[in-house]
Formats: sequence, C-alpha cells, structure tokens
Amino acid sequence: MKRRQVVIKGSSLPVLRIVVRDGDAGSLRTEVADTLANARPLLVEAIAVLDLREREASELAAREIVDAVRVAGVRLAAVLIGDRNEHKSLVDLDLPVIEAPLSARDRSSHSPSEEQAASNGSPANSIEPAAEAKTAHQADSQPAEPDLAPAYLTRPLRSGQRFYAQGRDAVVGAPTSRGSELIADGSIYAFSPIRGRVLAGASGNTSACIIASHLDAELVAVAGVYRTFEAGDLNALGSGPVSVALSLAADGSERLTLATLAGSPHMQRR
Amino acid sequence: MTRVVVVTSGKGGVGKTTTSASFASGLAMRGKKTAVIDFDIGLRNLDLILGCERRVVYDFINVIQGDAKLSQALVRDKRSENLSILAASQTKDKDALKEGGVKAVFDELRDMGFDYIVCDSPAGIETGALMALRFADEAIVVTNPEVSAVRDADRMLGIIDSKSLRAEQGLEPVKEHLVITRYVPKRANKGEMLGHADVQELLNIPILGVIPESEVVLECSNQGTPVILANGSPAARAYDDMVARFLGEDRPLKFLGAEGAPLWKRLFGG
Repeated sequence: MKRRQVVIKGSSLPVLRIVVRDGDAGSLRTEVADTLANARPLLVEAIAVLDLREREASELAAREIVDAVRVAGVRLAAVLIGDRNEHKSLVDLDLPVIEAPLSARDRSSHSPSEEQAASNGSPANSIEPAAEAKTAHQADSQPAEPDLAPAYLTRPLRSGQRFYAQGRDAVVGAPTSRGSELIADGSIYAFSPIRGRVLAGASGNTSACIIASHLDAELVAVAGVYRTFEAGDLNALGSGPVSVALSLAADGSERLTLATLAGSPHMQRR
Repeated sequence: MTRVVVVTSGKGGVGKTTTSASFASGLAMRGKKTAVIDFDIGLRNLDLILGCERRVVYDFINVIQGDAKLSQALVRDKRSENLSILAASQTKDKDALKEGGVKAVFDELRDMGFDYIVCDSPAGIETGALMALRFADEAIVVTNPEVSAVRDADRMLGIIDSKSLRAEQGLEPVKEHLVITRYVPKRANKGEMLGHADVQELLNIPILGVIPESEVVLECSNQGTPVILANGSPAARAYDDMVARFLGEDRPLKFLGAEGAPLWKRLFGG
C-alpha cells in the first residue's frame, strides 16, 4: 500500500502561557515589560500564548497588550479568551483566538492546568480540528507518536553540574551531589540519592511531581513553587521513598506537599 | 602503554603534593618508570617534597616554550632511578601552560618509555588544574574527611567528567579513585569528622586509600622525603597499600580504628 504523504495527527506542544490580569493601562504596560524582562532566559526560543481569560474588564485593548508582549521579543502563537471576553475586540488581531473557558478549579487557583493550555495553545491545534485530527489518525491506523522518552541520568551528577530533561521526564539512576541541579520539564523519578537541587515542572507544569527513593535535597521545586531544606529537615519523612507534588490549599494557593510514598502528608509549604 | 594519572582535589592544602610524591615514589619502587610533573606554575613545591630542589635547572615551562630539552629538565630522583621529576616554574605565569605544549611533553615522555606520568595538580579549577587533568587516563582525587573538601572534590570530579580529553572525545571515562588523607579514626568514630564510608557515599567513587593523620608527614616534607619512605609509620604503610591497590592488588583498608580494639574483638569482629 502506498504510504500517505499527508497525515493529520493530534499533538500537544509545550507552550508558555502569559497570563495578563486586570489593571490600569499604564501600570499594566510596565508590568508586562518588567515581567517579561525578568523571564528573559525562559522566553528565548519559546512559543507563548497570551491568556486574557482572567481579565474582567478591558480598559486596555487586547491589541496594546499584544504589542507590549511582542516588543519584549516573545513569539506569540495565539490568544486565549474565556466566555467573558469580547470576541469582537480581538478580530483585528492577526493571531488565532481560542475560546477556552476557565474551569472552576482554574478560577479558584488562578492557574489553569498546563495540559489544557498546552493543547489549546499549540498553533495548529485549536479545539475542533483536534477532534477531527484524532479521527483521521485512527483511520490511518498508524501507531501513535510516542511521547518523548524520559531522559536517563546514569552518571553521578556532581557539584556544579546541571542535568536538564527538556520537555520530558527524568529518570535518575545515579546519585546527585550537593550543589548540583537536576531539572525536568516533566516529573522526576529518582532511584538514587538526591542531594542537590531538584526541580520538576520547570516550564510550569503544575501536575509534575518528584518521586525519590532517597530525598536529601537542598531544594525541591514543582512548577516554580520551591522549598529549601536545612540539614535534618527531611528526617521527619524517614528514610523511605518520598513524593513531592503541588496540592491546592483551601485559600486557592498552591502548596508543595511532601509525603512518604506510604501515604499521609507530613510537611507542607506556606 | 603510558598511563597519565592526575592527582587533584579542588581544595588546597588537602595533601595533593604529598600524595603525588608518595604515589610516584611508590610506583617507581615497584619498578614502574615514572615521571611526576608539578602543574602548580608559580608556586612550585613538588621538588621540595621530593628533596631535589637544588638540582632543578630547567622547568616544565622552559620545555613547553622550547628553551630547554625535556631530557635536560627531567631531574632523576636520588633514591630511585625509575623516578623523574619535572618541576614547575617559579617565575612564569600559569598562562604559559598551553595545551599543545603540554601534549608535546607528554608525547615525548611516552616515546621515552615511561609507564606512568603523574600530574600534580594545583588547587582551584583554573588553567593549571585544567591542564593537569586534560590528558588524564586516571584520576586520584584527594580529600580530607571534611565537608568543604568533599564538595570541592565532587566539583572536581564533575570537571573531569566534562573537561578531560577522554570526556570530550567520548572515550572510556577517566578512571577515578578516592584518597582520603588526614584521617583520624577516633574522631570519625565519634562523629567529629566524616567517616571514610560517608565520604565514599557522597562521592560515589572507589576508595584507593585512607591515609591517617600523622606527624611524620610534616617531618618528611621538611626533610624532602616522600612519606611512603618513612619506614614503619602508619601513613607510609597506608601510602604503600594505596600504590599496591592502584596496581591491582587486593588489600584491605587499614588504620580505620579497629587496630586499637582488643585482639579478640578484631578476631571475632566485635
């Protein structure tokens, strides 16, 4: 059978989401510039979507925000709007507009899940075509494109060294030392002692987690929520395997929760 | 086949030069044709420790810069004809250490039939230290049972993993060995200093030797005699064991505190 030259497939690309909330025109513009300037290293080469879903009013036209973001050198792929936004005011933007209402959880936490943003935000993949793509994909009966395999650390990570699993999970099969940095955009599964810094969900994935057989870290972070440890802080968790994940607190903030893999959470951040 | 062995540590004052001198002398006493090179340009010490300072006419930098032939600069040890010393320059700057020049000297030493080239690295992670480890086949990382020395050793292991020629060319990695000096078993057992097992766990490389703290070391330095020749002293025996292990002999670690225990306890593993 002749191999088809054009195949439509579903996909989910990692994109950054720039969330702009309410504010008056003047301060908003400077804040956009400041925030983006601070996030410079993160934004190099990255694709971003502009998330306007948390804006109630629109004192500042979407056009101006887009311009401010572009001036800062960010490659914008789309604009996300909720049902509250005025679709009409965005018609003159030369960007795809994606309507994706905030869920109840998103609204309370002010932080929609990353998967949603990622799939919604990828330029070639707005909601309806995605459904079509799936059908076409199934009809084609080709094996699904595998996700990126995890990056596997096999040699000890020394002080001053950094291991970065870009856009994927990390599996750790060699010890990491004090002063080292182990970073993954996805989750981290460690079967050797972790003694340095360990950061999961580095590009904002709040559902990333860290599972470690022996956690003796200086710092742990998930999606930017971090916690440092003094000597002995982690003793309360015993010597067994530990999980670190974000959980939603009653006040809507995200907390870093450390727990033994047996179950009950022992320590919480904030 | 000539093997290049770097003796390094990151931190200063942990016993690199003392270890280089005893290790090189030990190899020579066992019939290996050995050259030991001082890479601490501007702060030369190795010639003093080996007691040949009055016979140094030309140095390593003179050879690199073509002012002297290698055969003129190599100083034959007065105790063992198998050992030659290449002193560092006391006057030149460390920038005189060029990779091409170092390689040329090593190639010539290979042609002269040396079995081992021992590189005594300076402290720190700058040119001298990088050049010392550049061509290494094996590395002896010297540390004290103390956290800052261990962290620097860890950093140095990371640099060996990334900056050595073997690492850059994707060859079999540099073979790494750990030597712990200034060890006081009594204090380690009381938890006042890191135990050898703790150090090994943190650095995750095999222990080649544990050298006990000894007054003999200072006396030997002042007399220009390598510690390994201080007959009967525990430090000398520990260095001798270290050389034997390096050459493939299986010798148990000594001077770890069990010797002080009663005989019956040693026999029955109390």
